[in-house]
Amino acid sequence: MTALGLAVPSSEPYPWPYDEAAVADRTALVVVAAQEGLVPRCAAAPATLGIIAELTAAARAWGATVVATRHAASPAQRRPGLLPRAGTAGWNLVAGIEPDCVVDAFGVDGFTGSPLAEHLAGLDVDHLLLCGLGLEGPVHSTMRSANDRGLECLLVVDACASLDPSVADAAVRMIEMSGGIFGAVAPSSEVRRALTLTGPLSPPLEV
Amino acid sequence: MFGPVEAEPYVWPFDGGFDAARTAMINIDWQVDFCGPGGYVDAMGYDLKLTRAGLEPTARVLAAARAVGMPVVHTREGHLPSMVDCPANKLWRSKRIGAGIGDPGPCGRILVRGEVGWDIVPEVAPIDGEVIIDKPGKGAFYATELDLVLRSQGVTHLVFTGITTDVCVHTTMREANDRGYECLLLEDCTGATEYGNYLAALQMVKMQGGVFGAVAPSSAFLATLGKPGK
Repeated sequence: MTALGLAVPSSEPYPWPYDEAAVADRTALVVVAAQEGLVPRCAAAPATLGIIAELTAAARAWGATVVATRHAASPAQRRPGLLPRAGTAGWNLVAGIEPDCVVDAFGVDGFTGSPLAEHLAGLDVDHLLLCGLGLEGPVHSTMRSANDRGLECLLVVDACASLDPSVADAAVRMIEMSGGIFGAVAPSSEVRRALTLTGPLSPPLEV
Repeated sequence: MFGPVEAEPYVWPFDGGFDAARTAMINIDWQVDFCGPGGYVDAMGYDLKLTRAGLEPTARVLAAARAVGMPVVHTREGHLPSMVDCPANKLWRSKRIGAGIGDPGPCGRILVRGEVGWDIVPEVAPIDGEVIIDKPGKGAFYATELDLVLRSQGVTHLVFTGITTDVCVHTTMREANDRGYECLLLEDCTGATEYGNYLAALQMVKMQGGVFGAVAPSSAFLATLGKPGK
């Protein structure tokens, strides 16, 4: 096995990624909904944001693109919900989150009302590391949609803050059902270790 | 107009009532592959009783919905026989656990359109005139005509049944809520491959004041329609 691609052999329920190793220029760290308005809704947000910052630094040093999704209530949504309206204070990214680019979404799902799919395709990215605020909300919706689009997803579990700790464990189990129905799951310690062990270059072409 | 439904965490719908013609019943993936012997879920070794539990109440709601003139939409997950619409990672994961998509099984090729396992089970089968949405993924809005169909028919409210609660039902309800549809999930008309995940999936709809809509027993919905619950 090549040492040049990213692999997290201890991830559950299978060693991520399915295709043995992810290369940096086709991998993005997606920081989902790290916004002021989500902080009061997630009790663990302050600690989680520290983990996200460390993960962001490691992913960037390795060579992955860091994308932040910024979620606003959809103009179609008439019932008041989880998300801040665009342009309000709650809609802003939390200070210290420093992505390479910000993608605006209009929904709980980062793919709804947003150019996220096109943006990732334009970058040639097909492997995602996911973290953010709202494990059961924005993070889960975004992971589900990414997976339906064929993107290979790894949830960095302690880099996600729960909206409802009574269902956080189940939210992780749901991902791991049926052999990894939405992808795989690993803790940030394992992901960061893999990122620092791995060179940023693509593996040599097999001729 | 029908009056509101006793639901959690709020009385559904948020706008006070619903018009049958603008309220669609969305039946998610009641296919042999997910609740029939020899199908995909059976091949993975899960207990079919859990995914079949909602069939009887769903059949009652289906009859009532048809009687009051609600549009009914059925969805099916399945891939083209050539498998060109199956992502490589989805195929790899299924083969790794011994239930490969496209592989032959007792109900034909697993999760492939046109096979016996792909059919909707007879208890809740579509009738002439009802829309059937074929989808390659978990969400019924991605890569399908569902949103176009609903908007063209003026549908604004959705009532969900189907399987599995935590996977295809939840993904589709999340997509629908983001698109502005007012959603209700009937808790006894759905099931998951793990009971704890079923309960957690219901809670995830209700958390934070109803992130994705509301949840009610079918008896409450039937009572609002003026139909007996049993």
